[in-house]
Amino acid sequence: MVQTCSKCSRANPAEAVYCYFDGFVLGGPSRPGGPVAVGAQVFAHPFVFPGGRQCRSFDELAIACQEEWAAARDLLRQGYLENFFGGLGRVDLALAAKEAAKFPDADLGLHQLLEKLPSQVLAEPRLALETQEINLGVLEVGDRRQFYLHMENQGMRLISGTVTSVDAPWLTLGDAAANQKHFHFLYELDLPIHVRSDKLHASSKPLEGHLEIESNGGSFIVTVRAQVPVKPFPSGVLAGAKSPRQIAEKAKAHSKEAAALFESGAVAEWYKANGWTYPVQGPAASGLGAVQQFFEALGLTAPPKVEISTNRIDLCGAPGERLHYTVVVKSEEKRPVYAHAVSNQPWLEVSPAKLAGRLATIPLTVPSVPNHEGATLTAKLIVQANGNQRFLVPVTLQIGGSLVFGETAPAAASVTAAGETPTLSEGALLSAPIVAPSVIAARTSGSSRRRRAIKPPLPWIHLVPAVLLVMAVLTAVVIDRFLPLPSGGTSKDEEGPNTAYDWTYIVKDPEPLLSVKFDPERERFGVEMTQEKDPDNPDRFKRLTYDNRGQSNNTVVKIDGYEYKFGEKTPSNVWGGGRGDRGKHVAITRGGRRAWESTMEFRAQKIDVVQHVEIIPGQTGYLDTLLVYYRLRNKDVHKHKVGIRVMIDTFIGANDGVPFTIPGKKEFVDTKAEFSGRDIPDYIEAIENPNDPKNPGTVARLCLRHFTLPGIELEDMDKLRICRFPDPNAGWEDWPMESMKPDDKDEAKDKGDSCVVMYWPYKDLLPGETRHVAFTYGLGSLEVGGTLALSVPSAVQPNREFVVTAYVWDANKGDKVTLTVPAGLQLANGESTAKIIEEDSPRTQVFWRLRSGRSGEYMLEAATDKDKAKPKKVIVKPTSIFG
Amino acid sequence: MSFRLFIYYCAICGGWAAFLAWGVAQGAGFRSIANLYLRATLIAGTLGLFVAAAVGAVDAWLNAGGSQRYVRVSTCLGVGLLGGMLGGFVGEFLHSTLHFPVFIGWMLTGICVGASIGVYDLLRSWRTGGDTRAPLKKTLNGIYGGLLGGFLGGLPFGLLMGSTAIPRTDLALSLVVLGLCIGLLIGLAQVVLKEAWLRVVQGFRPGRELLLVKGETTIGRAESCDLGLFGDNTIERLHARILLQNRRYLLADADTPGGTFLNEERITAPTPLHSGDKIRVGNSVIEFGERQRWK
Repeated sequence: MVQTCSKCSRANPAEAVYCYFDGFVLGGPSRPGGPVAVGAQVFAHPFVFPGGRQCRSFDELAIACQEEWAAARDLLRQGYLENFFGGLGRVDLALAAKEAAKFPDADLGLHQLLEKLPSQVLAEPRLALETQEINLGVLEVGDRRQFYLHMENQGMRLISGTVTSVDAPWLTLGDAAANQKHFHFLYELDLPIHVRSDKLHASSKPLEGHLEIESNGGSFIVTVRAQVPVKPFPSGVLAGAKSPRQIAEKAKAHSKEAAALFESGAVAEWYKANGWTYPVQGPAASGLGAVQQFFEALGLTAPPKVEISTNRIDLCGAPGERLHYTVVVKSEEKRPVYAHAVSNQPWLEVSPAKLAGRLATIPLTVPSVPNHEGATLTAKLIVQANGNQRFLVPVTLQIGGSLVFGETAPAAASVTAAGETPTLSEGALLSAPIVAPSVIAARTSGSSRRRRAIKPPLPWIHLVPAVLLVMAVLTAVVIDRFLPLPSGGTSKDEEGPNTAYDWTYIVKDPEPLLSVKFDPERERFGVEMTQEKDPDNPDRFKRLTYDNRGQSNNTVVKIDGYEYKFGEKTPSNVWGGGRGDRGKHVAITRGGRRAWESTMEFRAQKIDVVQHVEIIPGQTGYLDTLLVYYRLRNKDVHKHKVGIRVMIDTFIGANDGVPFTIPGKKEFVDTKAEFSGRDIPDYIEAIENPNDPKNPGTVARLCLRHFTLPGIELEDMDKLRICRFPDPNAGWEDWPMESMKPDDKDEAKDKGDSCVVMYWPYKDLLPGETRHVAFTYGLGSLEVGGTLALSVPSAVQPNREFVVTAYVWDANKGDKVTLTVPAGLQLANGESTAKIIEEDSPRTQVFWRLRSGRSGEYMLEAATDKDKAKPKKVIVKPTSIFG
Repeated sequence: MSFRLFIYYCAICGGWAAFLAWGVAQGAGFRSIANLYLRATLIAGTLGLFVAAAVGAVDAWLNAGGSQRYVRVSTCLGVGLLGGMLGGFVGEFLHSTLHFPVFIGWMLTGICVGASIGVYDLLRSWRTGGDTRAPLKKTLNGIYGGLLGGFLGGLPFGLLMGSTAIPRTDLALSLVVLGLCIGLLIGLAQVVLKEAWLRVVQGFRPGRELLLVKGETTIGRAESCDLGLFGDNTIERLHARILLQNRRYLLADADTPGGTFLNEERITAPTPLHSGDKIRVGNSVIEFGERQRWK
């Protein structure tokens, strides 16, 4: 059965009496008896120290080593003890001695070996201190003081352990001024303790620190106390202040005077004299800013939020070159900004910040770009500003052949509070950039090398006004696009299908008796008869206008006081109607019609004027009448004053100065006349040979009023002029109205020259409103019976007054002309059927005012004592001129 | 402000100003005025007023400091108003009576707006008896830009106006395009045709550029200086001058204790400047640039 040593707990054979390892008596049950004193057993031969001391047992050897420590330490190192133990057959002790000899500290090696000797004569080491409380008395910041901690070994062998300054940074141990010190000694030790002057700080309470001692001889805690009284502020308005709070209170009360003390550094010195850390880091601001700086550093005032000009700096330079850069710290608040920066790399030098109100400029310099061609060096620049706000700015220096100072877009740099670890992030941690220097380059060497500047991209913030402008314009356009136009006047109509396209009528003969030719540029129109030749030129047809293309006619549109000739293009007056230039001449031929439309846009005022010219059936049912119809539309959102007048240079056959007959007037108009309002007749007629009743020739009739067009309400004209044809460029009415008769005294007027000018009101045209005006010009019929002929309107509206005219040739004073009025028509109030010729005349006319009744066709007859006129039919109908 | 941003903001501010001018014209009912001449005069006058003020403000921001900016903008405002009215009236007359294209009038307006930004410098040079060449050149550059801007912006004017799809905002679109073009071309002309300029390499707002458009350009810490280098206590309130004499730019120190350095050599008398020269005042470094002249 295996026996276990009660001392070393190692296993030994069952028959063993002593422990193989330590020689201890194995107390097995078969071995009753007391312990064997191994240490006292005599060696076979003694161990002799160099000094002659003989050791015959382990006990003697242990005592000798304790007493002759230095000699024993040397013998151990030199291997004598190892050999001796080997000679004794104690290989275990020989190995222990060998191991101990190799121990770095020889004293500790010997101490370990003595522990393993099978001897009980050496007592355990025991540490004793002279005192466990040390009072250093009164100290001043800056004092250097040293004292000793006395330790004794009241046991045997070596004491080893550590002393630690636990909570007293102002105490250092040993000559190395560490806060922990290892020690070992045999009998006693005086450990030097130093008071660190720079770690002392004044306080109203005593300083207290502790030294913790742990050793193989026991553990102790030593308390060290000292008094460091506060030095009051020495001078000025802050004199007597004993704490930062008192300084702040006094500074608040006397800010201007105190500012000088802060600015001069007196407060910082006072802090230093008391061993305190001055809260303001970096250079002091000037003036009251210094007080603010102090308050912000103490946390008594919230610091302004500051921004830095860049979040990273990328430099590039050639070896040996000197580079400059400037970092700007700024605040939007109207408070002083102060900042300072430090670099963690020697190649990047930071100069003191230049403080100027809300700006702090920190110059950076690379005195000489290191000679590492192709390398990229990195550094960190820590910028600290108001209230210890910190910015970490990474700096790279690319060493290359070309010199470029560039800066990335200042978008994001981190801001951290004091004490926090600065970090960089991609987000918008920093508010808007302060400055966006595109390129900052400085070359002091005057080198002529090419310099390349990398321009930063346009920061997005600059795009904001452009985007806003686009949005504003688009919003306005969209609103305009979908907001309805303001409502127009009472006659406002919507732009719908052109009703003129849908007109239909019945004709007796599809071959027209008239033809229309247009001036190709201006869309003026001239009228010719298709069945009769020009008396002066048989190759041509008989004209009803002076020019067969109507070039002497003109139409004037007056808009807002300005007169424009229809058909004369200008940059703002163009052919249009949604067709561009194709709107100039649109033919309507459906159903055999002969109609042409021309649309002109007056774009400045957004007025459209449509001229509709069409050959329509007249009084006879043949295509012998020209309808001229204008449509005026206001497409603007504003009202405009618009009027239109049409001038027709009348001409029949070879007669340019044809006189006109006016219903209701006794005389022919062969000089000039002007009618307005209600005086304007329903129609006027021009007779080619007015003095020849047997051959009156062509009769041209202008219908001016009281006719209608399908689906259209025509507006009455308000003025009519019959006179000499004025200048072709005549405007609205600023031209002289002269007699159409020839004037022998004036060569320019040696021939008769007539014209008819029709005016429709010049008045407001409301937004979206359309006006319609029209007249007809065509062939009339004059059927003369002897010396008498009747003239009636083409058609008459029911229940309306109209005029019947009788032309009388070779009239004698007193002759009576009698009108036979059929049933369905009646004389107007005050009229009589018989009219008396008032004076002799080769040609005169009498008229009757009649009133129509119901719809129908009525034959009128007239007679004198000598002749009887051919009956004339009057058509009374409520419909338009087309039927 | 760099020249690139100057051009950009001239265009954008021109566009915005034209948009505001449309708003005023629309609100005041200028378009409803029956008299064409009065209508065109008022609308163009409003446009001239706003665009000139806007472009003038950008120019003042680049080329002036302190209260001088307000005087410059006020001058532009007045000249722009009168010029716009003149351009509108003459343009309408030419268009209505002689059937000239509509952009002729806008070119006249553009000319006046472009000229407005140089008028202040010109008047100042005349008043102080200084060299009028540089301000005259600036005025001419503005005129060239305004002329071209009025032409380019006026070209689509006739097309955009009168659109029945957008009866109220056709004028807005037309004016904004016109304002953008006038502003852009004025800014572009100032930069492209510039004679001489300064660029702050180191100091307050590095990267800033300044056109030399006056007989005397001042550099210093004071707000009244043309090139203000604020925040550098080593710079005097008036530290250095750049003089235009006999078609040459000279650098002169304003008797400062710290001195003015040209290429790191202290100057004691007015010294001719060459393109690329580095001027150091205090801790600030400024680069002088000059356009190459054909010989």
